[in-house]
Amino acid sequence: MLLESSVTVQPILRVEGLQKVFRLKSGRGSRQVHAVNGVTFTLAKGSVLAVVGESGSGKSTLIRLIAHLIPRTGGRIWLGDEEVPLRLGRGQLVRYRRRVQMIFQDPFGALNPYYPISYQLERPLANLGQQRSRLERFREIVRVLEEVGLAPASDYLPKRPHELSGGQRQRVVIARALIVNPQVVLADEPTSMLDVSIRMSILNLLDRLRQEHQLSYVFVTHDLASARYLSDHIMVMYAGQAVEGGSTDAVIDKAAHPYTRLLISAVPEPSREIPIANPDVPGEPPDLSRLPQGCPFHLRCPQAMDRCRQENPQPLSLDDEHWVACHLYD
Amino acid sequence: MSQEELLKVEGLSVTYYGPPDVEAVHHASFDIKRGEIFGLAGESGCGKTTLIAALTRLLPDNGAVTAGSIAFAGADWLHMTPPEVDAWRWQKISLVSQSAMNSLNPVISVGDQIVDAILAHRPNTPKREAWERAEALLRMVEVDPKHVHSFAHELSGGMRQRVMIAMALALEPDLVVMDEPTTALDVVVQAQIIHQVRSLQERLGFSVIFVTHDMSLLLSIADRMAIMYAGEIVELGSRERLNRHAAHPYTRGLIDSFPSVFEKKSRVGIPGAPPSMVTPPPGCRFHLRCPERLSVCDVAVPEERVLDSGGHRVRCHLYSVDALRQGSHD
Ligand SMILES: Nc1ncnc2c1ncn2[C@@H]1O[C@H](COP(=O)(O)OP(=O)(O)O)[C@@H](O)[C@H]1O
Ligand SMILES: Nc1ncnc2c1ncn2[C@@H]1O[C@H](COP(=O)(O)OP(=O)(O)O)[C@@H](O)[C@H]1O
Ligand code: SF4
Ligand SMILES: [Mg+2]
Ligand SMILES: [Mg+2]
Repeated sequence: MLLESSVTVQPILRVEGLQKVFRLKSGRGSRQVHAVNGVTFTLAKGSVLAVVGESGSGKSTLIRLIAHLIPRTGGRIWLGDEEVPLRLGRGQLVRYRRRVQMIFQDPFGALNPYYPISYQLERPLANLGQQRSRLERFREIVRVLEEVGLAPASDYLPKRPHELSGGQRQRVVIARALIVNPQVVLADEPTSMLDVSIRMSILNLLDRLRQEHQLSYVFVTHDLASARYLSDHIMVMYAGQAVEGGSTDAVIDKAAHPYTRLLISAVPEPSREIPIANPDVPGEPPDLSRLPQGCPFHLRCPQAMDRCRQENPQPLSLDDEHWVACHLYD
Repeated sequence: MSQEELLKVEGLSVTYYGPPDVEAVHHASFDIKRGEIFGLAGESGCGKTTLIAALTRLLPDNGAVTAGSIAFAGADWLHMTPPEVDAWRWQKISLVSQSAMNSLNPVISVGDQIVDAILAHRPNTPKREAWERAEALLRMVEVDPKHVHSFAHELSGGMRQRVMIAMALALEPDLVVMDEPTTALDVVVQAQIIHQVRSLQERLGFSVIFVTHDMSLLLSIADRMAIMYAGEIVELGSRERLNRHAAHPYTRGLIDSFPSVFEKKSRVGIPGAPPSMVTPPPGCRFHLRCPERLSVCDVAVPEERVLDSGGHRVRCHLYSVDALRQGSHD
């Protein structure tokens, strides 16, 4: 498939046709929520793929599927050149978590309020790490804490989460993800709940850690500007589907999908002549339990044609670094 | 835009009684002109909501204005009695808060709430006319008038916020105060609502105080704006001035905290975390995080300086002649 041939560097993570349907009981009947609908991408080693889209577009579900926090309804996942089975046994899961770690949006919710930082970092090491002795583990904890900027570590080890600022807590969450030396980090809106003035320091930290450890990130964000800042590839999601993807520069400077263009025009940008365009696109994303036939965006798309109401567009290559799922380019 | 003054705040301080007592707003002064969008920015906890709660006479029971005055539409607003304030609420000043969900009554239909507000202030209005007005208001904010019969939970977040704006405009007030009205919304919905507010404002001529922590949003929409840090207004000026010549190191740091979609430029944000409001730092409240601090900043509170004839003001020792003569970088 074209989406893979574009990545010549070594892929570390690959997903194909990933799908998640939540079944909800409502009243007498039941509803099916199509949260993720056939998403395919490849993450190159040492690179950052930003997954952008509005809330409810399926970003968190996508990375929770990859993290094996919830089972997928369909699709395949490869880590390195091994295919990851639908169900993982206990031992397999431990090995998987050692390689794939997650950073959550809410650093407070992600940490256990009753335990000191030392404990929060020792647990993953004890469960997943390969260090034998307590001393080895302790050294590792100190090293990682200082690496994420919490130095001297001795100031932070005995503290509990509520004694830290929001930014410090997120650093602990990052340390906890890194301590098992993963290859892939799945970050779900890691800065959106932090004070605005410290968001950049967390983005910069993630960037530095990636370079120093050859990490690969799937970076989920609703903020296109942070995506531009941190990523080298972007995938845009709308109503559970990936509608456009490619190198970050191509997707933003040469946005092809009408939805991507809409998103970009709505981002406040003081340097632009029209800092926020008037979105001439009405309405809001569709109900995922009653997706329209055809292109998921056609009800709002200013350029929708007959075909868009009938057929769901397949991804099409625009050039090596850029693809779009839209009939305008057929 | 007329430059007639609608509201003038002078030396306003607000304390929440504890323990511990918190002075959440310290000595704030600014004015709002008729027909302008006045922005108020600063990170969470800096006192934005407190300041506008004082402006709207909606401080909670443990909060009180301890100094200063507010002249509103020619009246001594802080000394008006509660019945007088009630009579002005909705008619002269109204509030759109961040969470429409918490401000809309969940068990009363949207239409009933608008009608109640109209009848409370204009008891002679025939019921039929009040209902027609409610429908017209919904149409004005581009919500299908059939939703007069809907309840808050039946509407999307964007629609609820539009309904709140419709209610705030029901009695054609002079001033609409909006506290993070789009923070919980997606960018596209945010852009839709911003344009709605702008076009209504052009038509109806009211003034807006727009509160947000999103500096790039404010630099995109406000005519003038004030930047708050730790309870104080540290800078105030026109959008053009702040966009090109932000003077306070905090303002500059805040602007640097928002990456741009269009250029990949490395940014540092602001080091450290916002201070505790219980014991704000001595001297300049920002000195602990300030990359440009002088030795005088640790001990002396900076006076406010006026930088141009357009009313650009800043509270920072870098602009005080004495400090420039005596002070030196540490
Ligand atoms: N556990 C769940 N059960 C049912 N529906 C869910 C569940 N988790 C997410 N969803 C639904 O899936 C859709 C996508 O949600 P999510 O992945 O959280 O989107 P995003 O992260 O882009 O905001 C939403 O409609 C959401 O309500
Ligand atoms: N009802 C209250 N009682 C005591 N302290 C409060 C109350 N509301 C806010 N504060 C404190 O006042 C300060 C300013 O808060 P707020 O005005 O809500 O800031 P912002 O809107 O900028 O986030 C914070 O330190 C906050 O904890
Ligand atoms: S496929 Fe059609 S409806 Fe969908 S985005 Fe493209 S033009 Fe619009
Ligand atoms: Mg999410
Ligand atoms: Mg607030």
